Order: sequence, then structure tokens, then C-alpha cells
Amino acid sequence: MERVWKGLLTCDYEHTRPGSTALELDLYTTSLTRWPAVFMDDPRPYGRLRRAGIVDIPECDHLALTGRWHHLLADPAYATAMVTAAERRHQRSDAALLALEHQLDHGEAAERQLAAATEAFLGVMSAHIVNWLLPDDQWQEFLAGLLGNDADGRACRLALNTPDATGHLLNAHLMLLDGAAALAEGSDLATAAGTLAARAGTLYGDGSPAAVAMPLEDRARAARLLTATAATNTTGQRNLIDASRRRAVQLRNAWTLAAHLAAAGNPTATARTTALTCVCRWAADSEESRKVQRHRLLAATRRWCQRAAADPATITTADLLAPGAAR
Amino acid sequence: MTATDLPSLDQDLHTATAGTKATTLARLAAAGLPVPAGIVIPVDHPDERLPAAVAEILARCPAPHGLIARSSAVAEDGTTASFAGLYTSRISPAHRDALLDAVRAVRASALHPTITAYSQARGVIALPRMAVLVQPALRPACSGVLAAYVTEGRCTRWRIEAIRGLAEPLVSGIQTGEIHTASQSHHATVRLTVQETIQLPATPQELEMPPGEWVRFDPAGSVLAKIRTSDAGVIHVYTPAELAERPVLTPEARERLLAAAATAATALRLHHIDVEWAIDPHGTLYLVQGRPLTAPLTNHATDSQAVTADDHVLHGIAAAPGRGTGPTVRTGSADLANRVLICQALGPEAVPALLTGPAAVVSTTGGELSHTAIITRELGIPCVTNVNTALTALIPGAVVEVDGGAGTVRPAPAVPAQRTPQDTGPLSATAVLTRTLEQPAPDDGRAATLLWHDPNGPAPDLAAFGTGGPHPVGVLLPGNHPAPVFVPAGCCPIRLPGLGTLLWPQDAPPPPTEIAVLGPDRQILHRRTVSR
Repeated sequence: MERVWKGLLTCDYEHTRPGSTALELDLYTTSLTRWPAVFMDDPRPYGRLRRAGIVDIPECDHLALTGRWHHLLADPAYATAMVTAAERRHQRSDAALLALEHQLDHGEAAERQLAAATEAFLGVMSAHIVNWLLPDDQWQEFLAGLLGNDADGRACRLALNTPDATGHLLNAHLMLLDGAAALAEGSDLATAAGTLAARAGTLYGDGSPAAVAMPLEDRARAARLLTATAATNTTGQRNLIDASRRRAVQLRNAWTLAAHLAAAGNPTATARTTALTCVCRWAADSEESRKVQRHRLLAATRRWCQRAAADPATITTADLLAPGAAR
Repeated sequence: MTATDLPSLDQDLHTATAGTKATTLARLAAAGLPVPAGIVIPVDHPDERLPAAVAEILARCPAPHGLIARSSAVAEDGTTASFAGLYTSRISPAHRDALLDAVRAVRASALHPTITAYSQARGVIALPRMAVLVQPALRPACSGVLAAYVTEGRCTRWRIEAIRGLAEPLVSGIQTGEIHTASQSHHATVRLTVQETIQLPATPQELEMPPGEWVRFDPAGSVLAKIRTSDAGVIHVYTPAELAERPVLTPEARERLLAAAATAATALRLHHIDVEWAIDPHGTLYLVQGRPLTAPLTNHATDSQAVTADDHVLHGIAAAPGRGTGPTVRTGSADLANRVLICQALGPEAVPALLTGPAAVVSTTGGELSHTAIITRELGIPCVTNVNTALTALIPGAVVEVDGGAGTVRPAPAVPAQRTPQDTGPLSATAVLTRTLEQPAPDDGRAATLLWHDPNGPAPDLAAFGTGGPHPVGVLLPGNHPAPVFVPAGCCPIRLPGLGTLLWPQDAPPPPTEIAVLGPDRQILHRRTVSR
């Protein structure tokens, strides 16, 4: 988000995500304009789409919509309902992506599944606003006041932003360790490599799988990585990850309890703490799973484009939502 | 005086009427040095005739990228007081009203209280009025400042700071420049910089283009730049990716600049000179200001121990708490033990190295919820994200201290001895609050354990109550939550004003007056005193 220019704020993903395909930019900007509907059932769009990658938001709309959202986020009932709905969208999107991947894996027509997965994922994608539209400064001020100083407020807020589920980077490595451990126990390399490529292949390497495959989508490379990893101390790495994760979650839970202790006896502060801890935990989980789903959709779209003789570099969300139009 | 009396820089000017800056530039122009054209509104030009002066300037000055109105005070640029940065300069579109506002703002800066304070401190007299020099705004490829000692027509010791576009962010201290230095016969040392945005005077058409659109960075249009914003006649563009890795000032341009500075010093009869300069996209050099150097020349760029461009703290986003100190290392190293990893966004391929125990991570991108931030929190590694200059400002191997809670990276003299976990201190008067009872009960000297009863959660296991363990166990019900219908035999509810209700074993000593929450290392995260 940039500074105000002639009453407009501009979100420029062309700048923040250089080298993205039209679809990648489109997913960001289309979902951005929809977030008030997704999170507040508010029909007002968040700005106007100038082109895929750029959205112009009238400052008055920005202030009105974010102001309303921030007010709602202090209400535990709203926070719980919002998180529950968002988690359902994640589940629906996951199911739609699985259906799409199944069709592609079996060489069957996938237009309908592609449209459904795109529509489902756009709802998930709207959650990318948690990176910059949450009331972080207000929360920091609130927690610092509650806990007595800025440093504790920051430490608490950072700890609250720890996901429930293992983050995707560690999880991808755990999948690699699983595969390597299976090899050590005599599993077939080709099978293990296929599993790794399918489950984590889109996550390894720079960039995204929108236009070209990520390195580990290639089973041969996955096999080489598995073989190399099997020669390392996989148990030690797993133990270290498990212990670190356990500690991080313990720290988050302890700070959650500390915030509740500090707020106890003050109903307003207690309500706000409950809402805040709920949203923070979800935001961290959401960001991790959104990335995984995004790469899955981009990879699946690329695979579909290959079969449909469409160009993955220029295809748009509208193309995918209207099956057949892309060709 | 009539409006047509406005003198220009190709005339012989006098400080008393045209101010020092304009007079000096006229002398440099007369000496054959490259000085942009300019027209002077003299010191005593009446306010009511400014509109006519502005109209004349607009008629005489073709200005595709607008005009710049610059202070030219009588006391400015002296041998003992430079007034650098104290008077106002304004870039303006080539419109009557805008330029009139700019000229008035520059003249008004003569009355600013800072000027009075500075002139008194320096022992000089600053008149409450000044001349204004108006010039067509240059659209520089780069610009900056030069300070040099000149001996026998040569710059013998010098320091140049250069940035792309206008020099304003450099002289105002917002942006660190690319620094070129040399002393005596030593060859030049160059320290590069990272410049995220470039300020350029703009055409009227460019000023109407919204952020996100592209403009030509060079006249041929071979390099495009994206607009970040625009304001007051200036567009702010993101540095084009193809320029980001290139030095701002070429050695050839530096030599021309040094030669011009030496000539300027001779023309002005100075041994120590301070020059502001600009180079246009065609490579033409211009001197835009020349004055005596009033401060000793420093040479920070040759300090091999320097960690950051200005030896100051780098600020980013606090992403994972904790402090870590160690030598910096870039992505690709397999062993990060006790080192500070400097990286862009991390991928899963980085995990094995992260498991080797880095002291900290500094990322050039991302926020609190970025994947790099989340994985470092999961692994308990202090982390600061969004330090966009980290890859250039942090020299590999330099020792830095990263404060992941404060979001800072600062030079450290050495790696300190390993810290021991913070001692919680005695817990003999403290009840430790927890959500679940540990088994076996911790024997850390605490006065009691209190089980938190979440009002919206399931009822606590009251059977676990009592005094059977190494310390009493009670239940804390926060707020005005009513006491459970079933209170175990031998327990009693105790009202804690402003906090809640405590279910406490009757045969235990009175409950402690302090409740604390411990972290995973048993450090106290928060404590609250209880009043009864």
C-alpha cells in the first residue's frame, strides 16, 4: 500500500511481485477488491481494478472499510465467526483443488474443476490482506498497555502469530524427511520421489509454478534430493523441528495466557484479547496454507494450459472462471 | 525596478543584490564551467511585483520538467556559515500560480527561526530577505555533493556522494549516497548503496499519471521506471531493476567532476570546496552550487570495519523475538551455526541450514506474517524482516547484533559469550498460572499452581485440586464468572477484586499475592499482583 495520491491509494502488485504472470497478479487484485464481501458481507468493492496487478482505492473507501473491519475485529463473536468461515473456505478450496488435481492426474477434462477451484481459491486469496490491513499498530498499543511495556507487547504479538499447524516451509522439509526415512526402511525410490514431487514439489525453488514447473515437480530431481537427504541424520532433524515447534506453540500459549491474566477483571480488555488472539492465530495459519494452495492452483492451471494449448503466462482469472474461453 | 530588470547567471552579479549562490554560479559560468541557466529575483524585489517577475521568468525559461526556485541569501555559502539545508528550495511545475507559491516559500524561509538561531551561533548576520534564483529543473540521471581539498589545481583529497535523480533525498539525509573517496595519492574507494526510489522533476503529463504507471527513465526510453507517487512537480519512481546493480557514478564521470571542482575552486579562490552537481541522461555535467567547505573532510567509506552505510542501526520489522550476535553470511551456506543469515525470502531448501543453529536471520523482504518470519518463530531464531538494504549494507563476515524483538540490526564489536537463560528469580511468593497441570508437578519452589478456568471453555478438573503435591493447587476463574456449582470439599472461593475468583484449598496457607505466567524456559512472561 502506497501513500495517498490525489485521494487514491494504489496497491501495485506489479511492483511488489515482479515477474508474475497475469494470473498471479489477477488472483491478488481480484481477491483484494472482494475482501469486504468475503470478510464482512459488505458489497462495497475495495477499490477499482485498473488492470491485473493494480488496484486504486479511494482513500475514503479505504478508511470506511478498514475502520469498520477493525471495529469488528475487537468483537470475539465476530472474530470467531470470521475465522470459522475462513477455515471453511480453506477446506472448500482444498477439496476443489484435490478434485482438479485428480482430473489432471487422470488425463480427464478439468475445465469445470478448474473454474470451481479458481472461484473457491479467490475466497481464500482475499485473506492475503492480513499482511498489511490488520490493525497491527492498535494491537501493539493495546498489548503494550496490557502487559506494561512495548517489548512485552511486541513479544506477545509475535508469539500470537505462530500457526497451529506446522508452517509450510518446515512441513515441506518434514515431507522430505518422511520420504528419506521411508527409503531407509526399504521403500521404492520412484514411489517416494513421486509422492514428494506431488506433495511438496511446487514449494521448492525460487518463484512460482505459474509459468514453468518448480524444480522438485521433476521426479528425477526429487529422487536425487531424497537420496541425498537419506544420507543425513533425518531423525535428528525431525526431532529438532518437533522440539522447536513444541516450544514455539508453548510460547504462544503462554503469551496468550499472560494476556488473558493481564486483562482479567476488565471485560472490554478480555473481549479484545480473546478476539485478538483468535485472529492472530488464524492469520498465521491462513498465510501458510494460502501459499500452499496458491502454488497448487498455479501448478494445476499450468498443467491444464499445456493440455489445452493455452498460454499460462497470459491466462487470467476470468478465463478460468469461464471454462472454454481461454482457448 | 521593473520586472524586465531580472538579471540572469550569464551576467556579472553582485552578492548584495543577487545573493551568494547566484553570484557564485555566475562566476563559475564566467569561468567556463557548466552551470544551468538561471534568472535572479533580487533581494529587494518588492512582494507586489513578484507576479510580474514570475510571468517574465516563465516567458524567458523553457522548462519541460518545471522550474526550481532556490534561495540565494547574502550570508549563505560563506566561509564560516554555509546555511546548508536551512533555506528552502522548491521545484515547481511551469505554471504561474505554482511558481509564485514556490518563490514566496523560498523568500519566506529567510524569516524562519532556525535561520536566526544558526546565524547567531555562527556569528554572522542573516538579513530577513533574500534573492531567489529560478532555474529550469534539470532531470538528472544522477546528482550529489562533492567536498574536496584542492592543491595546485588538483583535488588531492575528496569525497563524493552520489544518488540517482535529484540530490534532495541525499542532502536532506533521507537517502545514503554511493560514496567515492580518496586521500592524497591513494586510489578511489567506492561504497555502493541501495536506492529504492528516485526523485525526478516531471513533465505536466507525467504529473497526471497515477502511481503504478511507467515513465521513460532515459530520453531514448530504453529504461522504464514505475511511478511510486508524485508531488510538487516531482515524480518518485522505483529504481529500475536493470540499474539496481550498477554504480551510480562511473569512474569517467567522477574524473570530469573532480576536474570541474578543481577549476571551480581556482575560479572562486578556494582551497577547500563544496560542490553540488548533477549529470543529465546525456552525460552532461552541471555544477549547481559551489561554496567554501566549512567542515573537515571525513573519510568513513574506507573504514573496513564499517558494517552499515552510515554506521547506524538498520531498521526492519520485528519478526521473531530474541537477540543473536554473529558474523553475517549469505544464503547458500550449509552451516549457519552461530552466524547471522542475510537472505531474501526463504524456501524449504533453507531448512537444513536453519536447523544448524544460526544466531539470527535478517531478511530483505516480508512482514510479521511472512513465511520467513513464521519459520524463524517456529524454530526460535531471532529474526528481522524487511531490511531492504541488508544485502548491500551488511558486509559478509562483519559481526552484527540482531534484535528480533525491536527489529534492529547493529554493528557489534565481537560475538559475546553465550547468554544463559534468564533466571526467573525465586517463586516462593508466586503462584504460577497454567492451563493444564503438569505431571509430575514442577518442584521449582513456586508457592502454588493456579489452573486457569477459561469462562468459555470446559470446567477445570477440580479433582486435581488440593495440597497433596509439593505446593497447593487452586483454580482461577477470571472476571465475574460465577463460582462452579460444585466446589470440592475442603476448598473455598476467595474473591479477588478486579481479577476474579480463586478456588483455594482450605487447609493450605493463604494464597500468594502474586500470579505469574511462565514461558517455555520457565522465564516469567507476565506477573500480576493480587489484592484481597
